[in-house]
Amino acid sequence: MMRKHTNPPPHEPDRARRCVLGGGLLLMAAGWPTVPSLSALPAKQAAVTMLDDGFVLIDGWVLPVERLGR
Amino acid sequence: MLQDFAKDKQLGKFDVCIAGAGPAGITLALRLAGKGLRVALLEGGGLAYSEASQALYAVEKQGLDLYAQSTRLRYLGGTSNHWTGRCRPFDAADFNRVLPTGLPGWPIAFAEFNRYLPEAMRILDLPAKGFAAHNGNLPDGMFVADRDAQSPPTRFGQKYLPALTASANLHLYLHCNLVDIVFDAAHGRVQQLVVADYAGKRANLVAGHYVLAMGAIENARLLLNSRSLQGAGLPANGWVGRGLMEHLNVDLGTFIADEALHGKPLQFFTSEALVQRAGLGRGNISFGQLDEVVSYGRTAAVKTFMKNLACDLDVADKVQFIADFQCPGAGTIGTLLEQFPTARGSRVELANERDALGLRKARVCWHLAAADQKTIRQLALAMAKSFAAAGLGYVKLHPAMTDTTLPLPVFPHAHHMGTTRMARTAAWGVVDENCRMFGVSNLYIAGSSVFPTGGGGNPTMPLLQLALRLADHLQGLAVA
Repeated sequence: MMRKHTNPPPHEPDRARRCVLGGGLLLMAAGWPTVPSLSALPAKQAAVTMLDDGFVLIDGWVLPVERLGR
Repeated sequence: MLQDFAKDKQLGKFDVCIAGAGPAGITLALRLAGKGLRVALLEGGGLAYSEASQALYAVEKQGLDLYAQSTRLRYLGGTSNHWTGRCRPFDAADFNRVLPTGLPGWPIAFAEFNRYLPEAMRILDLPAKGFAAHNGNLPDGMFVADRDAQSPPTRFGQKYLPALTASANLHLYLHCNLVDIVFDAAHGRVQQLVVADYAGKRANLVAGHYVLAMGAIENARLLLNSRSLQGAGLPANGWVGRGLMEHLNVDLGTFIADEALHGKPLQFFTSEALVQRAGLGRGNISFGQLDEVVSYGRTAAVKTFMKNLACDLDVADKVQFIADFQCPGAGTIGTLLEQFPTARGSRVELANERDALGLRKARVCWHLAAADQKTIRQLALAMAKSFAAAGLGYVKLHPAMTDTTLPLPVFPHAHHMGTTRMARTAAWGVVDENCRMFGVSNLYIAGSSVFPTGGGGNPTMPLLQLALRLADHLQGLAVA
């Protein structure tokens, strides 16, 4: 069950774009929050909050600091 | 034996009269009749849904919306007629709780409660293999794999109607609405029930023992409406309607999962280490992948919205391909979390407006206590971290999870509990360990309204366990 995260993390463009085009369109139409493209974060001036235990909160995403910037 | 009270007003005399023919009432009635007791089972509705009956479930609301009229069904079989069938057993931890709101938990031992589990599972047609986990634990120990079993689901009205009508000493009255509970002058004993049809014609029904099994909102409403009980000063009176609980269905946020998890279930349950350390509620957190969007709840609402929109705009064929989209691994996160009972928070009380039978309607006041808000926000953050740390993917939390100025996106599960709570003494509840109302020798309450805590599991199976236990108790009284 526990496995290494092998596909691109969500801040990588391919992954994020696929989610936006797939689920995001439907969810936005229904008034739901969309899945963001983290690659667009700099343009959006994302809210960043450092959490404890080595995590950071970026626009609601709870991400391990070690994964950022890869 | 089946009798339509709207057409035939003759009422017999019974050992036990049960008001309410949902899962608890039907289970109790069949069990007692099978032991040879003469049983009356009162159903306010008929064999099928009707607007006239359902309208009697209209409530006023205060605070969060419990959708108390539409989530309940008022005909034979009760709300089991649209039950989804998920069963998760209470466990020992549910019976050893120290509640942060200061109220006591269960006054009975888990072992005493749990000995009725096999029979409840049989009644609900659960698979012989029992309760299964669908995924693994998370490695940091904060969450374990949840386990459950799925009932077909059992529709109590359909499944058990033949048994109800075949029993010689069980009398099922349809369209027979309880409108008053008449106590003796000392308020120590119920003398009779007053019942009415939809034309307002009334009759009195007499039995040795009486059981209210109409659900947590109606059990409280009928007690509060009892004319002879009002002003009686019974110690338990002050608790009737208080302690209302739901399971919290919270929109925690969205997620992206590892592609290898595509199509696989992700259902977790709070570990005891986590909830005890922080004083949080127990419960389930589920990750629902978008390509598993099926046919109920808010997912159904999304589908309906899209279909209607496409039809209104006359572009149904053009958006058809969108409806079939798949976004591997992405989805939304929902919960089934324990809500803590409080003495002065969520409750059922009487509204001023009256229903078609002349009873005051219920006002359902549903609020989150500070302990509930703490549970939601701390579990959301803990789960987001555990999910990422396990390498399963990433979570985007709803803004209210980290911003305490925003209202939490909380919805109900149609699990109404706690309004006639069980306690060791009348200082803390309405019924004793045997589900008998404190101070009243022959009035009992069945169903989840007696739960002093709601735990993190679905209530239908536990309420059947208590109904079976109550049946044993009442049978013992009859034999004595």
